[in-house]
Amino acid sequence: MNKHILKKISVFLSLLLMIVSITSVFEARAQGEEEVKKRELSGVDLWSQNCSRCHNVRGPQEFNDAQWDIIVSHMRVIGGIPGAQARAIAKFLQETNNPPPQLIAPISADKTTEITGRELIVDVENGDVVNGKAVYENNCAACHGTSGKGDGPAAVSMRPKPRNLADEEYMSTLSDEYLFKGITYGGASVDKSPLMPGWGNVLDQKEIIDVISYLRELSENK
Amino acid sequence: MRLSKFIVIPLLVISFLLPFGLSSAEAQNTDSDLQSLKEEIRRLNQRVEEMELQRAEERKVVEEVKREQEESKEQASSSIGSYVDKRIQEFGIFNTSKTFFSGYGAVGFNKADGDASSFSAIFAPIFHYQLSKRLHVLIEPEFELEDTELEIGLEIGEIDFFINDYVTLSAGKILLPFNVFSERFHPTWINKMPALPIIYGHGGHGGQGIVPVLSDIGAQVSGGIPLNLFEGSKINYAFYLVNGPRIESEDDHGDGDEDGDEEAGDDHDDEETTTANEDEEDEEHEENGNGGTQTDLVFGNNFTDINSNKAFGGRIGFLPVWNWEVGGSLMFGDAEDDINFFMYGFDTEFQYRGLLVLGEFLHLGNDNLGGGKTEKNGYYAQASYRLSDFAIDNRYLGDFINGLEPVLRYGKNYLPGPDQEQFAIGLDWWLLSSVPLKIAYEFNDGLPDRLLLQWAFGF
Repeated sequence: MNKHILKKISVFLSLLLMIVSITSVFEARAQGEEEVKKRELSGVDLWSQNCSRCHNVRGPQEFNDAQWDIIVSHMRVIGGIPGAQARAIAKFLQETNNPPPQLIAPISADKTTEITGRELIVDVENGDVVNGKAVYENNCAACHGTSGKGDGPAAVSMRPKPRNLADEEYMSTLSDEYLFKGITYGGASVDKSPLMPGWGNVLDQKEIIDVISYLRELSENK
Repeated sequence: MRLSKFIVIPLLVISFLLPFGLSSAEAQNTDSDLQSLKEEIRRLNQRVEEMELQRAEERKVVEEVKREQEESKEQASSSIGSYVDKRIQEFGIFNTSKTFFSGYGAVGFNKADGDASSFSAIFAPIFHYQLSKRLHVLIEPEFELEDTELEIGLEIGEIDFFINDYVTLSAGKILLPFNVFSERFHPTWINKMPALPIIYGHGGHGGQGIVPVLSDIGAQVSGGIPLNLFEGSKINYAFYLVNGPRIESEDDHGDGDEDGDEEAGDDHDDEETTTANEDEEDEEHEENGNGGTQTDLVFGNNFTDINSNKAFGGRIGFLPVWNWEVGGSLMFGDAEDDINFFMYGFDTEFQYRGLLVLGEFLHLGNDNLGGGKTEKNGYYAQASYRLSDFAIDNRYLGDFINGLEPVLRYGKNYLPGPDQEQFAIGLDWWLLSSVPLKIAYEFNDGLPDRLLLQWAFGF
């Protein structure tokens, strides 16, 4: 065999071994750190940032769980996306691509949320605005923007555009129950854009109520 | 003494009567408390009864909904079609499927100065198979209608193995991550223009380009590593060992090999479009010392390597923040004994809201090709802006305007023969997030001007 090709194969294999060794140490360290602190970027952040860099984002509802697994694997190779980030992206897409199961559960001791009972009581007055802001920024800002104006990184290619949640006049027309249902089951559940996914599989009821409390404050103090 | 009698006797009487008076008042108070307690218990009982009734109503609604769901399930499973659906779900064909079919395509129309106008079409289905969480197979055949033939090619046919979070080993026919256009931006629904940037194309015989969209057979190791600098900071890398290019000769009338990497609507490499440059080519061929024959490097068609000289290459990309990437690429090897080639390139991509800026530089040098040392350099810069930030009251007009994306592209190739320069202006209208209608006009030097239309789709 030609000595040039042997030399090149040796260089290639050496590089491969070197990279695997270094990254294995890196991975072991990262796994240790993962136990004590969560990653800063959420799945939805990583989805909007990694995908919108090259093409229009594809909504969670466009594909089922298995398809997203395959697509994200493919994109991981093309985009050089680290494995943990790829898994976070797939998790977000799989959790929001199907409407969550119907909820019949108490929110607190004296309030009951009943979608199926056609009666919904959402106690937004007692929502935690600080937690709501954190939940919003982690999950909603990728499309609605940190300012709530519908200008997040993933919003560019969306038609219709995500709603301006800082618009006091518009927000005042929406009841707390309407917002709760829309966030939990997605835009289609309240006759709005199906591009808005349902978050009922990702967020618990308290977190959704906290987000609504924050949105009320955001639109009133825009 | 008498006085004390008058005082003591009434006091004795009063002290005797006082307890009776007090106990009578106390008794009156106790009765009242009892009454109110009884009233309270009665109200509480009533409230409990109301709550029990309410609870029963709630249970009734829940049970009714559950029963309706059960009934609808039973009804659904009773029909043959639904039975099939149910069986499909049980077999998990959808939710646990390991196969997936995606792809892209385009129908194009182009009119180059001095040539007849023509429609063209390209279709590139992609078949995925997930062997396991760590193994992924991808096959992308490509069908293109060109001249009198249906060209069929295999753009990608690879297997990927995710060794760990940061390393992926790929093998097969892979898109080469030399710069970013070949690997990330060339699918018709992602490319903002109907045509490839000027540095890409078949190149030979006066056609556009220095290299085609690069793919080759071999092995690659790639991955990404997050950095703790700013939001989304990371490095991505890829190194590959592939067959590399081969040397091919082509006579004046273009009988050499051509591959199928061009897009629908992009036929700068066709013989017809090159006739305007034949005189200049003749000069180039004579300079190469081959009389009427042009010798050139051909990338991507070296399916069975004609020698043992493999090409080695790689790219490292750095993202200081999530929306800005800079990359450097390198590739070198011997196409034949004593004929080596050396390529390097730089690329950058920046995205902010609707703005996407993309730029690449490419250098290709080779020794002893056509009897001497040749160099080709080229670059392009592209900017597009999606008009999604424009708020328009009229819903239909707003939808239309928000779906528009103007594109500008400028590029130049410095070749051994005449240089090629291109300024292109285009407009995309996004029907869906993966379906654009594109129109563009290219003002070219060294190539004929062109009007291009394209209806692209990704699925």
